[in-house]
Order: sequence, then structure tokens, then C-alpha cells
Amino acid sequence: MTASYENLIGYTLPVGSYRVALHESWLANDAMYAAQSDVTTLHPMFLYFAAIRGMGLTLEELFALFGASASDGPMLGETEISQERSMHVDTAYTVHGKIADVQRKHGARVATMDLVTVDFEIRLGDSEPVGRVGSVFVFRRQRS
Amino acid sequence: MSFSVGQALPVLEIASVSVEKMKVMALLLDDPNPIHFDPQAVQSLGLGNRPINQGPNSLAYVINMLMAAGGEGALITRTSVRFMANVFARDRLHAGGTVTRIDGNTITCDVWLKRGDDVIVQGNATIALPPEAT
Repeated sequence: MTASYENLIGYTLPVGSYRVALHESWLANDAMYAAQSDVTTLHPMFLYFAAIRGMGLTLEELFALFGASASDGPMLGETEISQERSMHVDTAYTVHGKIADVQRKHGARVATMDLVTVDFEIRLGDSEPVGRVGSVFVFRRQRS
Repeated sequence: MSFSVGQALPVLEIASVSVEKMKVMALLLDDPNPIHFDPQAVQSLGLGNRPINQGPNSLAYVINMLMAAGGEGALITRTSVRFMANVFARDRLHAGGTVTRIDGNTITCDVWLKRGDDVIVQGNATIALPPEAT
């Protein structure tokens, strides 16, 4: 049986920063099949991208906290995005994150999984709130 | 576009999910997970034989549908979804939704992303329309 990670609930991630160049906005819109009508205003998914890229850890470092790596194929199980205002290119944002929950799930026919909820707040500069992201990452542990 | 409770939002089609777009997204997200670009990694994990789309990409299709429905000036203020199944390269998808509540300029919807009859993404979302839209 793999280790339990409930002790990480409440762990605060290093504060990180995020900024998007115009070409990154265009490329992301293209990758998402989104309209290119105004690439200076960022697609709402950039709140999620800000959380992932600006959280102060790389994804690989986040996975490592839970004894996993990208090669294990961790998945995104759920996400909630709340946006108070639009985001824009060439603007500095700050990302605050913490581990909100860790739950181990056992199934009769599926692998044991750890569901890790990470909550992020994205701020303009480091003051005005822009939005929040809550994501549940799924780490498969073993086949039963 | 005007809205009423129970109204179906216009469906958005992704005719074929491109693995090349997954690769761009992997770079933009600095996402090292090989299931998004390496078919052999997908096979070795027992997850199929085609690269698997990033969950955020699949959610983006739902948000694109909402943005098209809301029109210029609308803000998608909240989106909450569960990812029920994987999307694979070359999948044909449809995103849609149904209006469940209208409160002034705020429209709440149930939303989904489907591959045929299979629900891939399911949840709800809120659109804040610009004042002149209502």
C-alpha cells in the first residue's frame, strides 16, 4: 500500500507569478479551437493556466509531493473556475495556492486512487482578486 | 441572443481533436505528462493507443460554446465540471448546454461535452451578460 498524504492538507504552495505574451494567447486560442477575435483579452481558461504555470511549483514538483510523476499519468478529475474580471496579455498576476483536500478512494474493480484538491487564487499584481480555481487531481496508485 | 429557462444553447462541434494542438498545449502549460503526446506512454499505462487530450482543453470547448452563446462582452463568471472520460486524438465532440436559471443579467446553465452519446464533461456554468444584452 502506498503512503497516505493527508498530512499535506493545508500545505501552502510557494507564491508564484504569471504573465502571458500576445503570441501565447494566440497559440492557446488556436490549441483550444477558440475564436481569435481579441487576443489581448485572455480566454477564461487562462485562469486555469495561471494556476498551473504560476503556482510556484512545476507540475512535476506538485506531483512529487504526492509520490507521483508525470509518467504515472495523473489526470484532472474535476475543476471549478470562478472569474471576477477578464485577464489580459502583458499583465503581471500573482498565484496563491494550497492543498485543500486529499482523499483515498478504493474500488472493487478500479485502481486505488488519491484525489487531491488544490485551490488557487489569482490576483492582479498581488492585490485585486481576478479569480479562483479549484482542481482535483487523480493519482492512480495500484490495480486491485 | 435572448434566453429562457429550459432553452438549449447552440451546440459547438469539434470535428476531430488534433494531437498537434495537444502538443502546443503541453508546451504552454509546461505539462510533462506524456499521455498528451506519446502514444506509447498511453499504451503502457493501459489507457488506449491514442494520445489523450488535456482536461483543460476539453473544458475549453465547453467554455467556447458558452462564450458564443453569451456574445461579445459576456463574462463566464463560474464553471464547475467533472471529467467523466478521456478524450482521445481524432475524437469528434459536441459541446452544449441548457439554461436552468435567469437572474437579471446572469444566466446559469447545465453544460456538457459528448462523444456520440458518451458524456465526457458534465457540470454547470454561469454567464454574466453585458447590461445591454437583456
